[in-house]
Amino acid sequence: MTSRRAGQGRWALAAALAAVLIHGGVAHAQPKSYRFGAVLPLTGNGATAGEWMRKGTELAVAEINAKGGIDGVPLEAVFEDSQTLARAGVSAITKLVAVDRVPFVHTAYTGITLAMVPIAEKNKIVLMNGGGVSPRLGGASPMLFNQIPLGDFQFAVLARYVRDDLKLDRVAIIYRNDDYGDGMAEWARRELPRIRLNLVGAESFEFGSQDFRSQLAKLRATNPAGIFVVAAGLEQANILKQAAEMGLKVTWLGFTPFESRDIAQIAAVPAEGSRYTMPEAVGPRYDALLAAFTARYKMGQPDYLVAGYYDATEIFANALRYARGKGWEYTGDSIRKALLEMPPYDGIFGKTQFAADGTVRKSISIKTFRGGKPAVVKTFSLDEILRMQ
Amino acid sequence: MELLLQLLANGLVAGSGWAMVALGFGLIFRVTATFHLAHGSVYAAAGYFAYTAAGEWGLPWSAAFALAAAGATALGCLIDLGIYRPLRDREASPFVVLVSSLGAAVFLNNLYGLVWSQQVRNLTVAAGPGYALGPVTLSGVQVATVAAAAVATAGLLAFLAWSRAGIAMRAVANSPFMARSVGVPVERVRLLTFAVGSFLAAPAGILTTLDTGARPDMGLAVVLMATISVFVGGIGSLGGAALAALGLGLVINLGIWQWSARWQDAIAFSVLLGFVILRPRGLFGMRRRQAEV
Repeated sequence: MTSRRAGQGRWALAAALAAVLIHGGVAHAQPKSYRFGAVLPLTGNGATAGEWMRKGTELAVAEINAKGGIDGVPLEAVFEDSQTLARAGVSAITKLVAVDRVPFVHTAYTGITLAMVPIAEKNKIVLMNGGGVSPRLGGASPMLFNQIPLGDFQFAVLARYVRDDLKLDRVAIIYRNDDYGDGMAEWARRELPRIRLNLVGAESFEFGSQDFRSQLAKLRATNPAGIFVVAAGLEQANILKQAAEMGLKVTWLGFTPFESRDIAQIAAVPAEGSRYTMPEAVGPRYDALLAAFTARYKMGQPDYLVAGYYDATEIFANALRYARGKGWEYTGDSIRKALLEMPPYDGIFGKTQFAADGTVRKSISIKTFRGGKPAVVKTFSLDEILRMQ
Repeated sequence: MELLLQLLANGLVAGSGWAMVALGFGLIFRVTATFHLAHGSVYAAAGYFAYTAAGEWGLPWSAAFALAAAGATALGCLIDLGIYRPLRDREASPFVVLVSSLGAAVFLNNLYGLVWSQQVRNLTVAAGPGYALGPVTLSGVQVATVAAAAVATAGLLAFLAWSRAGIAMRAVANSPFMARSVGVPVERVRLLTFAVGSFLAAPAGILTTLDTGARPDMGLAVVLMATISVFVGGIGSLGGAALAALGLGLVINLGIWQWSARWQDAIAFSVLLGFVILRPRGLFGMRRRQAEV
């Protein structure tokens, strides 16, 4: 009896010791923070966009940490400047790999993101694109995730809307000469004739251009009823402004980057009656984001990129929680696995469920500017879009 | 035909903007022998000063633009006093001066980014209908750009031809040694040259900010076009530089008529290369021996 008790005591002691060791071990392994990278265009031609991205990321990190972080561990974003250049983006991710050892990185701009892919694949780092919509991003790498529907998906919806609802027959496209613009123009040349939309003109411009009058003069000569604008930020606002000064009257057609403060400030009048696509963003989450953004930054209507990178950061936090719940380590592979397995994330831009190629499909709203403010004209549910295609 | 005329008008406007910068760049290069790459930063400063004065302080546009022009002029003088004059005192080589001007440009562009952020600063007037001149339509800012370039060119040529200061500048340009020996205060004339050259860049910077906004690196492309204009026009011929800038604007826009806009820079540099190979003294430049005499 004594010996059984002694045996039980030894087992209890061993169990207690094991518990202390395991517990202690876990406590020891608990990081001070979960660091992740954000290679954003904080200077250069994309600096305006980069500032919105940074604000969206910071806002999400602040909110997550205010609620206790990830099981008590705060998130920490390490921002690096890509200078809106692919080579600087590669240097930035190299530094994040070697020095900061992060397994997850926010990216921006198609060319920069694609240049970072080989390093991400080699070092098993998840890249999360929070705002870029070039079709070339889809399926570019198993480590790349795009949390906004890409341009081909959006273009297909807008093109059919232009044909069926606006009844425009002659359309043209003005696009930026980079991976985003070229990818969209390529899609337009291939797909618009297939849905019987007559593409009568296509003009490109260099990234950073501010004078588009010559391209617009050439497009005016083709007499289009609508012009697709594949640009961003101030570029778009200047295109619309300069077209108005030239007396060019068309229906302007755009994609998510069209919803920018620059258009509201500079080109509100010509933007009236425009149509552009945006993942459906309605409900209390969007209102909460607007309120939080205004309170933190003392600014009005944020750019869509704020919501995009806010969602991207929240998605990362959710993946981290999911990975921890499964007992996985904090590595790129486990984050990737979590992103593909975890339940859909209900964000500003609706439910996000990644396909195996790292893309998402969501309900798309057709929006316009009314009185200088974005307004929804029509929303296509995901089922409707899939039936269309 | 309508398209061709519109493209030519666009080329005239673009060339007018470059002409104002080219006049200042060419004047400084001719009189002080300084390859003043930071001239683009002076042009950008005028835009930022106008933005701050009108957009942030709420000054009337006329006062804001006068302040911006004065600020840009002062900046040009400061660059000369702080960088180029000490280098001249030490008889630094042209290469050292060139590298210093590049350093000043990079420093100033970064400084603008720190002060005004990397975001484009808009003083941009809201979109509205332009002025129709037959089949051609131009915005108010575009018309003002052409007018400002015409006034700047005529004013500078008259200043150099008839004012004492202008004649002194020409004397220093021809031979600083001879000018000094007849009592011309060479260093003061050089400083005045930077003031005049910087003042000429101010309207271009302000009008660009009105048209499309200001950003830290806005001066780089413009100073490049100004440099090409000065070489194509012929070193020493300021009228030639202005004409070359207009011609460059027209050629580039005619190029866009036939090819994609992505070839703009290629067209500009092809023109430069063509002149360097076929007519190295430019359109109106003097032959070396004549220039030396």
